[in-house]
Amino acid sequence: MIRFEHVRKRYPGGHEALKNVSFRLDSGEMAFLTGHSGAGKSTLLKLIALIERPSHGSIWVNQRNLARLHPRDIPGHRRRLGIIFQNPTLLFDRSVYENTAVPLRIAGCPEAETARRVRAALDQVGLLDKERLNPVALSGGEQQRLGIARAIVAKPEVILADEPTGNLDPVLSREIMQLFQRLNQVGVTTLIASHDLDLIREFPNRQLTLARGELVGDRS
Amino acid sequence: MSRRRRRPGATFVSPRPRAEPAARKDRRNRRQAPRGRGGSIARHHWQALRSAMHRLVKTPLATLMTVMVIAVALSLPAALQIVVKNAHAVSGNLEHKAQISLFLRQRVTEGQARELQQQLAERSEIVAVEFISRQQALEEFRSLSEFGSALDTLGENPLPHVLLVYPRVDQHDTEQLETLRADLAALPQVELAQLDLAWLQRLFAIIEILQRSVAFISLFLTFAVILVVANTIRLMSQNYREEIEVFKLVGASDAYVRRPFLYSGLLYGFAGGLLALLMVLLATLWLSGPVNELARLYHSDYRLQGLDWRDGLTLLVTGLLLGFGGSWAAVSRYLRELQL
Ligand SMILES: Nc1ncnc2c1ncn2[C@@H]1O[C@H](COP(=O)(O)OP(=O)(O)O)[C@@H](O)[C@H]1O
Ligand SMILES: [Mg+2]
Repeated sequence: MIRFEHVRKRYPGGHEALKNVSFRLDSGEMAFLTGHSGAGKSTLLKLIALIERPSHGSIWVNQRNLARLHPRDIPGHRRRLGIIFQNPTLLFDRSVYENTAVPLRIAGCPEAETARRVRAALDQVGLLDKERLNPVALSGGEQQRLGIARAIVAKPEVILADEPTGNLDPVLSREIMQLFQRLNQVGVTTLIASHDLDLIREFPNRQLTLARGELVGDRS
Repeated sequence: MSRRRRRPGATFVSPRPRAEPAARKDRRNRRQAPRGRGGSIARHHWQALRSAMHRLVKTPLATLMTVMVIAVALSLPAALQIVVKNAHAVSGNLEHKAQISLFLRQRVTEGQARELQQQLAERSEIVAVEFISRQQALEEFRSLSEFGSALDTLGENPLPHVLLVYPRVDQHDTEQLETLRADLAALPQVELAQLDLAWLQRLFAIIEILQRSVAFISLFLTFAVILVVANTIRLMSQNYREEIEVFKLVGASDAYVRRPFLYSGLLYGFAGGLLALLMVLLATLWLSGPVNELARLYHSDYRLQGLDWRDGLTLLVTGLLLGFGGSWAAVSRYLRELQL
């Protein structure tokens, strides 16, 4: 569950990226976060991941009030999230397999279990046959899927995706969104920021719309 | 979490009954994950060490240069320490170099002199007392001096009994020797108490200067090693910025991110210390031939003193500590700046 209560975010320099945003996303629910560029979508996701802190209001993620979270507990909080960026921040000095394994290594997962989970995640995104390759050898869509595999490998409670289809053609974009839907079917709360309204229209999920930092639409 | 709150309009394909067991399975898996805390900590350290070695090997030239700089910086104080050690050794058994000669009064008999010898030998500030009777003194004088026969013409032996007092010597305090001399001079049996201090004081002063220079240079170079390591690790952390960011975003703690860098620092320090040790050992080996030859020419059984195992250990541990300190400072600062 994700809950925003009167959240404001003012960046140093004075720009107010979010103005009084309140909403609630239930556990297991999947929603799109839409709005024009600069509307505050990325900011909203960053607040959930504690990459940024709200200036005002409170954010709850699965009963935890993020404002009360000790800095020491931020890593633990992030380990329960699967974050996917527009540019999949891949590490090009290691294989597809190792890229996927990063969250498990951080969690201290035993080798056998790591192997099992990495293969399961790569299988889900259709990259199992490329595990030995360097991510450089992957196409844009494959790199994006690798980013998704890394986000889901540690079985997060929440998936956050920021323009996951930003660089992809419509066919690949649709495939990625369908992948998110499949992932969501095992009960992972999912929030996907995207400004691609044409694409989102094809999906029946809830749609939160931001405009200049305000939540102007909430459509199921 | 109330599933009833889901919006009625959501034409969601997710069949809840299927989602249920999967979610439960998830929770079970999560519970299994931290299994064996000790195991996971050991795994973290092993990963970090491997990753650190990997990083060093990936840039062999830079690594070699850093290690060499550390080695030079560490070997210099170590070499100077050897010089100090040998200065101590040359000054040798100081307890038998510093001596106070007590010339006893003429009226003191041999028996009384020997009694005084025993009394003095029992004092804690005195190591040993040697008795030289006036006859011994005379014979020695005869054998050493050309005036030996001249003494015979005197008929009577003019020399007094002598006690040679070997005091305990504290390096930093020649004053106490002077106090002891005055003390002994005040004894009724003693005519004259002589202490030759000048050479001893000179030697002590030289050793003191040497020691302080070594301490100063060591401190200076210690600082240099920390800076070298810190700078290297700082560059390294900049090179690994992407990795650090990814790691932190998927939930790595600062400790986790820091660990490979700390191991890198430790490895630099250890390799630097080891190389320094090797360099100093080679240097002493190279010098010991000529030095021992020189000593032989002076009929001395003096041997060049090199590093013992304790010095070697100190060098390695110092390297490790400085490597650790330097990398800790650099990477902690970097993480603070990163603000992730
Ligand atoms: N780190 C930052 N510092 C200052 N302003 C920022 C920062 N990040 C984003 N902004 C501003 O906040 C607003 C919202 O940005 P963002 O959340 O990235 O929007 P979106 O993802 O919807 O395009 C924009 O006007 C942007 O310029
Ligand atoms: Mg954005």
